[in-house]
Amino acid sequence: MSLLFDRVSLSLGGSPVLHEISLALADGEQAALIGPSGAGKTSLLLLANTVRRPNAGQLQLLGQAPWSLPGQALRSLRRDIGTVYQSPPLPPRQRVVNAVAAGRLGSQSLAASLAQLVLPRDTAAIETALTRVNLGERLWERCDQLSGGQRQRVGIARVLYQAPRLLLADEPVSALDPRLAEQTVRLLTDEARSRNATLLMSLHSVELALAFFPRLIGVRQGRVMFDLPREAVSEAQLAALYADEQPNEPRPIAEPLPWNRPC
Amino acid sequence: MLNPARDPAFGQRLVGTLLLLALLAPTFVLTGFNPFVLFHQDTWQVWLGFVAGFLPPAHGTDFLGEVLRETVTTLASATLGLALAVAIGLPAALATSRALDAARLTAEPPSRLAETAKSLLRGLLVALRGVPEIVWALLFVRAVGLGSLPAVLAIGIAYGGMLGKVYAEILESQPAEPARALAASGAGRLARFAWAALPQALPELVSYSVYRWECAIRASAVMGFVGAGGVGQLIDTSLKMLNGGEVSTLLLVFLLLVMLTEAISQLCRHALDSRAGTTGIAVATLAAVLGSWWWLRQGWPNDAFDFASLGHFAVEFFPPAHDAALLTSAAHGILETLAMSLLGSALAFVGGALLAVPAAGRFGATLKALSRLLLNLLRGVPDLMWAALAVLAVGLGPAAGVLALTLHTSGVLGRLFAETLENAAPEPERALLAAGAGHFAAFAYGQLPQVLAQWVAYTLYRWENNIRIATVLGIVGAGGIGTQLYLALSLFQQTTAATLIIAMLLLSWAVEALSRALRRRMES
Repeated sequence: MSLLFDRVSLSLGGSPVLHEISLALADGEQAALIGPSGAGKTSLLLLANTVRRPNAGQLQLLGQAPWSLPGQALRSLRRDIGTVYQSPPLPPRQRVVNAVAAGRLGSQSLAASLAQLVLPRDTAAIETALTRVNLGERLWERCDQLSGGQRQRVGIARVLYQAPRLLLADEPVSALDPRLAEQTVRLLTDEARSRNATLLMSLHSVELALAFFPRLIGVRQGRVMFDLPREAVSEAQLAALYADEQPNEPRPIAEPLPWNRPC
Repeated sequence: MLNPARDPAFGQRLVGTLLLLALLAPTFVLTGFNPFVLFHQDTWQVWLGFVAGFLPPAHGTDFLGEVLRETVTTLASATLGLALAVAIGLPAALATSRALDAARLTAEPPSRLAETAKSLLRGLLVALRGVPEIVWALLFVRAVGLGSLPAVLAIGIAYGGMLGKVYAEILESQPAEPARALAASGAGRLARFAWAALPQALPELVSYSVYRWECAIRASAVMGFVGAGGVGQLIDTSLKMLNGGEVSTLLLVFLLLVMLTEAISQLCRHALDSRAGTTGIAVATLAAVLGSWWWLRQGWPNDAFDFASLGHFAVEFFPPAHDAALLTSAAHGILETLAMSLLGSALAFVGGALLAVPAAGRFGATLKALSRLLLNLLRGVPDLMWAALAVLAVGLGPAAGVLALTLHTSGVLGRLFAETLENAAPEPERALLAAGAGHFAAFAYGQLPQVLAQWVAYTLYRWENNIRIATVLGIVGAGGIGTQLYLALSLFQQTTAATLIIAMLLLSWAVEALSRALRRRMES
């Protein structure tokens, strides 16, 4: 199992966010996380990448229980978990080359990481990762010279460069236009498939989830409403999942991280 | 795949680094500052012996009585000095502020005579504030003798020049309509000031004056190093006698004094919001000024103030000497001053960064509190006092100046750096930690790029400040052009001193003009 949640609960600042989530993803499996804004999708992904620690329940990632590991072992587990964030966590003045190179800090010595800041190495591989998100020629620019959508793609290139075994993505295409969004979701699913990595992606668009993922997990009010193969998901279930939401109105960006200043 | 040639910024960075090294390397030679001296056994023995003597702080009744007297003198000198500064600055601002010019408010043609007079007055103000207050104090000690009078005069004159400029700018930043309406109905300059400009600008004028009063207290506390009374005089004596217990008592008193003034100035700013508070401030100010006068007057010479001798003393400075030997040594002094300020600021960048990381709470609450305490100590003790201490540790000369600037500026920068770290977004670093990066690497890739530009900007700003400070550290023997000035005045070579003061003025103007030009270029 790449990812195993056994009755996992999470509270933030005293208020419950996730209730007894149970979930399992096999190696190489791909699933989409859907649900209205505020349902807890981001929190679930932040549990899966060990940014947050559950208040109750058992959690296993890549066959290991992260919160019972000693520090060094936790670090080596983390280097195999890659996350695409909804708001790319890139310092504005950092150059794209370093922003992408940061994906492999976990598998380098500190000296190599610091040397990298002065003399960029491995630029061919970094450029390849950027080319896959159509940003090959922006290697030497600063992050604040890019648009929001371009920065999000830099965040994706970082994860491609990291090459993790468990790939998590939180609304990775919310800042992209529909054509580019589809292209990017295809890129991530192809990437995961070609390396037999496990992929869990939260999506704003049910259409994209249905088009690219064999398995859909519906989350509402901190609970799993359904967890089904896409063929088994009914219109009624989708309607119930998004009940009380105005579908025509642009939804607020789901659970924005506190990170909302420009890159 | 090592392929640095492809990095388009590589050449620029290499040149920048080499340039910085080329600038820094000679500063070690010019200042004779050897960082390894700090780790030398003898240095440590002197310091440890001295610091060990800090405990227990001296607390004999006689000594404490003396400390109390000198503390009151310090406060009184600062208060009376600032009163004098206001007496100089306010009329000067009234005369020079463009906000009151009839020609700017209405279509009245400007008078050439008045404009020339205003330009001359502005030039005079520039000269008054261009000479550091401690140098004024040194001059007045020579002119009117030891005691608190030189401190009052020095603060009055140097701060008078500053207040004249800033008051005028504050008046200019107010809306012009009320003054224009008065000008159009025929009101004179004084009436425009009293009925239009002053009521608008009063809160800002008071708040700036209170801030200056805080600065005056710090300044007045070190005036004793040149014989101008106050706690500085006691510190100077205790330092020379290597009496650590007394020094630690005095430093504690000094830090308390600084904290007290900060609290009082906070109180004043709040009090300004209400009418009763404003009246309270006015009454308290009057009482403080009169009280200061009464306290200090006892120590001043009883005979009437001798303006004639002051005039004679001033005349002795002219014409400034300009022989080649003096000009060469002045140039060397300037170079040494610049080297001290550059090296001190560069080392303080490192020191500030090292202290800012724990001070931003990255290693837990205990280290945070400890490093904040250290930063406050470094920042709270004035540079001139650090210089006097540094002279004990590494001997007379510019190396002591470098050490003093490094210590004081590390405190200033460390606090600013810690603030930028606390304000930086935590997400980039958190994301890298979640992807398995080590703590240091995550800091270097996630936090540092967010704060580094700000750190460099703060350091450049402090460097500008340090150039000015470095010119006077020589007064306590810590190198730079101040050493030559102190020597010249001690040997009664007034014309030489005049040349050195002019050199200081030119340096301070050049730095100001350069930094203004740089800032304008960076903004555009």
